[in-house]
Amino acid sequence: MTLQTWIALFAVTLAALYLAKGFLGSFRGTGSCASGCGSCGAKACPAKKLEERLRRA
Amino acid sequence: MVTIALAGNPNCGKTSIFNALTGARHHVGNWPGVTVERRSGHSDMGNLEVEVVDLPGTYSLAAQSEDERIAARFLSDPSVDVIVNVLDASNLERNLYLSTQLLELHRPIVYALNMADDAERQGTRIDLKALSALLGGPVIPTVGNRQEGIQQLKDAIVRVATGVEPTIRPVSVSYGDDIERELVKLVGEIGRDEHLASERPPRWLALQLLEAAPEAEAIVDQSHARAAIRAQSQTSVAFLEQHLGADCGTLLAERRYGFAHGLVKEAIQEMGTGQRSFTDKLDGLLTHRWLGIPIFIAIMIGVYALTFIVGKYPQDWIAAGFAHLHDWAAAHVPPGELASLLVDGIIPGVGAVVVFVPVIMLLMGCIAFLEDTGYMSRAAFIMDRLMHLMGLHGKSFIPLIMGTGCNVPAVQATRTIESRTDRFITILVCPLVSCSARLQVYILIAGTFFPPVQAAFAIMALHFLGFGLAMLMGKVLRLTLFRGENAPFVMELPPYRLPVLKSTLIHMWEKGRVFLSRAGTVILAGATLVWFLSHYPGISNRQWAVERQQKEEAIRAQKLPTIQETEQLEALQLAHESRVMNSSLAARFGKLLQPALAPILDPDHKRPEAWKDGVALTAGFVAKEIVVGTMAVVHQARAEKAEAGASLSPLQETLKRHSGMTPLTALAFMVFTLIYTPCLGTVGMILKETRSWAWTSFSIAYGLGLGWLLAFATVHVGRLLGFA
Repeated sequence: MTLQTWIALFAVTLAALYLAKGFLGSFRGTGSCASGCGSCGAKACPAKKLEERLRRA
Repeated sequence: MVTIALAGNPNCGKTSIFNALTGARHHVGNWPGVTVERRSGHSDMGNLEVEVVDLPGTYSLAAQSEDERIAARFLSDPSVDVIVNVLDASNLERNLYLSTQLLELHRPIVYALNMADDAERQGTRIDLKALSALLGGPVIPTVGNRQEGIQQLKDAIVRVATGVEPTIRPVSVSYGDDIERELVKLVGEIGRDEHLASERPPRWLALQLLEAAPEAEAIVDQSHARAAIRAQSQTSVAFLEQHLGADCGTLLAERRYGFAHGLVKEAIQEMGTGQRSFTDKLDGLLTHRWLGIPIFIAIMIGVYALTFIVGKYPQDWIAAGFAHLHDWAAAHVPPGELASLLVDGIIPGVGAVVVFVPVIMLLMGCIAFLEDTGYMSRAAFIMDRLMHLMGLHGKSFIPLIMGTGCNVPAVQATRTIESRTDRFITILVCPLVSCSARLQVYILIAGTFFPPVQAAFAIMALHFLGFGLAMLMGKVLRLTLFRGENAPFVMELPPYRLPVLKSTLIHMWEKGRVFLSRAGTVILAGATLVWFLSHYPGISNRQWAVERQQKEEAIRAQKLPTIQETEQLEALQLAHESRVMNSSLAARFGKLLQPALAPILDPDHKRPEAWKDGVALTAGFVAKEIVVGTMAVVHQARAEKAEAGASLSPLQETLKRHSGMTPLTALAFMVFTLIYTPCLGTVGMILKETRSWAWTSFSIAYGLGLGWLLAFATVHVGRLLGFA
C-alpha cells in the first residue's frame, strides 16, 4: 500500500470514529445531536438551555 | 372560616359583587377608586362560613400607590383561601393583566366575569368554557348590580374552597428563556429561607422583585437571607436590562400582555365594536379565521422565493470557489487514494452543503425579521387554532414549532407537558415537522427541478405537509393508542414592533456559523466515509488500474489532436470512475435497497442511477444534511463543474442531466425525505424521553412506512394527473 492509501484510510477511520462517537452519544444523550437545528454546539442550543433549566429547577 | 379576597381593576364592579355576596350596602360608584381600603363582610355559602374581603382596585400587584399596595399585601398573604378575580367583561384584555399576576400566586381562583350584559350589548361573545380551561379556574358571568349570576358564583366558590372544582389547575405565564433562567436563580436564593419560601410562592416573589415591587421588597427585608436575595435580584435585573434592552417592569409587562392578548384571541368569539388598537386591527386581518392562512402562505412563499432569487448570487460565487479548489487539488495532489478522497469526496461533499449556506442564512434572517415584528407569533396562533381541530394543541404546539429548527430539542421540550398521553403523542409526531437540515435537501432538489417560484411553493407545501401530518397522526394516535383529553394552553401574542436590523443580522450570522461548523465536522466526516464506501474495493483494484493505464497509453499513442485526445481521456476517466463506483460497497448496498425504493423513485425502471438515492437516504439516517453531501459524492458532481454560465450548482447540474429524476420523482424524493426515519440524534432523544425501545422502534417504523406510502402516492397520483 502506498503512503496515500494509508493517509486516506486513516482519515476514513477517524471519520468513522467521529460518527460512531456521535451515534453512541445520541443514545446516551451526551453526543452532538447531529440534526442541524442551527444552534447545535452553540450557547443558544435550545436543548442545552432546557436541560440546564430542568437541572436547576 | 374561609377567607376570600375580591380582586380586580378599579371600576370593574367589585363592590357590587361584594354587596351581592355579603348583603352589605356599600356605596357603588361608576368611577375608579370607590374602594380605597380593604373592608370585609360575612356570608354563608352552603355549609361554609365565609369572610369576604373587598380590596381596592389595582391594575398590577407591583403597584406603587398606597391603596394598591393594600391589595397587593393582602392577596399575597397566606391567610387568603380563595381569590375571586372580578373581570370587566367589556374590557377583558386589560383586566386579564392582573389575572396573569394572580395566577402566579398559585391560589385557587374563581373568575367573576362582571358586566357580562354590557359586553353582550357591545356584541362581544365570550367562550366561557374555553376561558375557564385556559385560566385554570371556573369563570362565572355576573351582573353585580342586578344580582345576576351571584348564586352560581357562590356555588363555584364553595366548590373551589372544598377542592371539588374540576377546572382548577395551575397556570403560569412563560417569560422567555432569559427571564426564566434568572427566575430560577432568584427562586434558588429565596429557597434559602424556608419560612419565606413556604409562605408565598417563590416564583411570584421573584417576579415581584424583578419588578422592584415595594411589597415584595418589604417581605424580603424581613428574611435572614435578604442580603443574598437582594444581591441576586440586582444582578438579575442588571443582566436582563442590559441583555434585553428594556427595564424589567416593561419586559414582564410585555409578556403578560402577550399572554392576555392571546387569551382574549382564544376565548372571544366575536369582538364588540368598541375602540380597537392598531394591534387589534392588524390582528383582525392577520389572524382572521379565513384570511389568516392564505396570508401566512403568501408571506412564506414570498420569503422562500426571495431567498432563492437573492441567494443565487453568493451561491454561485461559493460554487466557483469550490470549483477552483477542486481544480487546484486535482492538478497538485499526485494521483492516488488521497487525491480521490479530496477531489471526489471531501471537496464536492462539503462544497455541496456550503454553497447553500447563504440561502439558509437569508431564509433564517427573513424568519428572524418576521419573528421580531411579532408576526410569527400570529402565524403560530393560526396554526394552533388549526391544531385544536385535530386534538393536538396547547403545550404540544411549542415543541412542534421548535421542531422546524431541529427535532432533537423539540422532542426534549415535550418535558414541559404534564400529561403522559399528550407527551407521547407529541414525541411521536415531532419528527414529522420539517427541520432545517431537511430544508437543505429541499433547496437542492427543488432548486434543481423547479423554477424559483414553483420551488418556493414546493418547499412551503412540504412544510405544511409536515405540520398537516403531525396533526393528522396526533388525531389518529389520540383515537387509537393514546385516548384522553388534552390540557388547554394560551398562545402569547406580543405587540407588533419594528425589528432591529442588528438583531436580525446576529441571528443570520449565528445560523451561518453553526452550519459552517457542521460542514467542518459531521458533513466532513460523512463525506469521507461515503467516499470510502463508494470507492472501495474498486479503487484499490490493481488490475483495473493497469487496464486503465494501458488504455490511456493507447489513446496517447494515437497522437490525436489535443481536443480529441482530452475528450477521450476524460471519457476514459469517467468510465473508470463509474466502474469503481458501480462495484463499490455503497453501490451493492444501494442496489439491495433498490427494489424497495424503485416504486417511489424509479417507477418506470429507467434510472440506472436510482440506487444512489438509496445510499443518500441511508446516510441521512445519521444526519439529514449528510444527504446533500452524499449525493455530491455518489453522483460525482464535480464532473459538471465546467458548465459555463450555469445558474445551478455543480451537483444540481449533475442531478438534472444524469440522475434521471423527473420533477415528479424529485417531489417524491422530498416527500420521503420529509417523513422517513428521523435522524439518529432524534431517535436517541426519543429513546431517552420515552425510555422505551418499543416506542422508539415504532417511531422509526411508522415514519419509514408513512414516508414510503406518501411518496408512492405522490408519484402515482401525479402520473394519473398527467405529470411527468
